[in-house]
Amino acid sequence: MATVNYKCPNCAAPLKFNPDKQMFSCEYCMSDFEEQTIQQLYAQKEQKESSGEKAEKTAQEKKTADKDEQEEAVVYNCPSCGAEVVTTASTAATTCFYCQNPVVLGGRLSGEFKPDRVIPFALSKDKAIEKFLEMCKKRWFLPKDFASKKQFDKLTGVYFPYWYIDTQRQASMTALGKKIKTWRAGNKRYTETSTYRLVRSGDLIVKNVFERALKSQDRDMLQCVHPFDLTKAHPFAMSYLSGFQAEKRDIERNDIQQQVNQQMQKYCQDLLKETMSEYTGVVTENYNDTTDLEAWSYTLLPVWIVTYKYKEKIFPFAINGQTGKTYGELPVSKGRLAILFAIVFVLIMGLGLLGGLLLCL
Amino acid sequence: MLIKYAKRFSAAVFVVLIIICTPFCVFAESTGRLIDEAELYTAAQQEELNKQLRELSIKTGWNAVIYTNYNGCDEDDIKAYSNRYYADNYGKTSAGVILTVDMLGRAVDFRAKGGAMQYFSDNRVDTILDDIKSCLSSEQYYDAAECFIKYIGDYYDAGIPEGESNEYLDIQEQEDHPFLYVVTHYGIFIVIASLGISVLAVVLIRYRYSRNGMQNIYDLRANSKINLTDKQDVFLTKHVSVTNISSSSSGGGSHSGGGSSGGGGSSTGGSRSF
Repeated sequence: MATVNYKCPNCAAPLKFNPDKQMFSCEYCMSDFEEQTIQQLYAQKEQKESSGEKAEKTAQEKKTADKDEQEEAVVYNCPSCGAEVVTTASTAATTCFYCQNPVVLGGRLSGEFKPDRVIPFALSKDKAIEKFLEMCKKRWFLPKDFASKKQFDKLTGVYFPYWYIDTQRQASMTALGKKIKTWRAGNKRYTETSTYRLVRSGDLIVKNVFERALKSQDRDMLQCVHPFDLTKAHPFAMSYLSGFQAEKRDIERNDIQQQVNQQMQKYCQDLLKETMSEYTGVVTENYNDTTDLEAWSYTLLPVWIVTYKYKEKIFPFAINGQTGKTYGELPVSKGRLAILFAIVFVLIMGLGLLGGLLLCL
Repeated sequence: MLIKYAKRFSAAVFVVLIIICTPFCVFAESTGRLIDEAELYTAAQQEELNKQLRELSIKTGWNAVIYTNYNGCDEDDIKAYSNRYYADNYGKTSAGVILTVDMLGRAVDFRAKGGAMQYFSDNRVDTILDDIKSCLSSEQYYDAAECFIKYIGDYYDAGIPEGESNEYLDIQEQEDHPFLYVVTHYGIFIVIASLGISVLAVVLIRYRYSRNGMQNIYDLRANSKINLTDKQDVFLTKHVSVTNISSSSSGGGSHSGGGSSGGGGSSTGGSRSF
């Protein structure tokens, strides 16, 4: 397996992308390097490793033609310590399990699998933990011993693959809508309901609709860790992956084309319906659209993930590596819920009795 | 500092207790009295009636009151007014009888309160009111008062009637024992509502925690642009519906002896127009 190992130009120690500085840092000689410097330095090597990887992949494909790639375990040699490390077929960047040095499997994200853009991690591991603990502080019903820093030893920064789709469509819709007017005269209430046929046509642009491009992870987790600020996206460069894990896509455009189209149509209908806001009970009679332009972009997004074990139950969490937004089911303290139950019960009982007494007096 | 607040708190509790207990203390002793605001009686008649009422009060141990006025209450309103008048002046649970005559509304009401209620069955109430109404209709106001005093004395002597219907008995537990009334009448609903809301609160918290971070993942408005090329709103039909608005004050009919007492506590009795 061809690999890229980013090393400090000064001391040759492993180089990692530093989210806080948005630079490449060497933990040994404390040097920092601009993105461009490292990218220029390693551009040739990345290209070489990519072509090597392609040739290797072709050979492997011949050997394992009838095997599902997802089930295939891939062995590579760590360029730092030489140890043999096993990864899944979709892993594009990881850390050597023996020497902990970052390794980028260049070929996994080259050629047709080369992402169009990447949002680099903006949140360091410590800041991600801080964000998580901050979220926990606001949740009074979490068990008291739930959020402790030691739980986050296994917090891992992963670049996950996504499809981002922009579309421009011509859409038209007819719908029935009502306007309701009420007034009172004497002891009678009059309700006037006017029905209208609403016709809308227009050019619509919907941008940044996303869908995960990796089967193996929980869809909800990958979707709900959004939103990301795509204005901060950079053209893809492999060096951003150094120090993090990365996954390559295993969901192709064709696999999700229909699903995305349905989602786009729903968004377009929502947009057209927004122009009918002065009507109530709007019912769509007819909708059709034609796609003028559609652009798909393969994007890697930064996510911190951790699996959290509490009282024998496993809670997977994801933290947006750019904004710090957290996703994941939270456990609830039964004791605190019981207190809430008792307080609400007594409060409502008290209010009910007081209200009853006031009505009697 | 703490002692100062404790003293203030004790004083406040004492004042509240006095206020609460006042209605039960002031009217401890029964009285007999004519209040002739309608000026139906001469001074001599008033003196005589007051004397008879006092004697009746001593004999029965009840408050015995005749109250005439020009308040304008008709047959429907006079019961509530009479109840309130008695409660305000003699206490809503103290035993007594009151005859209220409204000359403007042309209505008369007889009401027995507290321990006196048991003595007046529906038959007795009807007898008293029929005779008094007859006297009032023929403008024999003194006779009406005497009739009232005589019947009360006689029925007191006859004792509590057995086996007679007492549909006019209007137990106002709501006012006499409000807390007990609320608990017995609405307690189960309050408990069910409290349980329901508490369970809802717990379910809501669990739901919110299970969906942590699932909201606001895509902002359609921020990521879209629309340029309308055609916009038509074509009128099709118009429909007007009419509904009657029910008046919140309606629904009360005139019924002697029934309905709300208007805040005067438990009583039995009846009202008539004359």
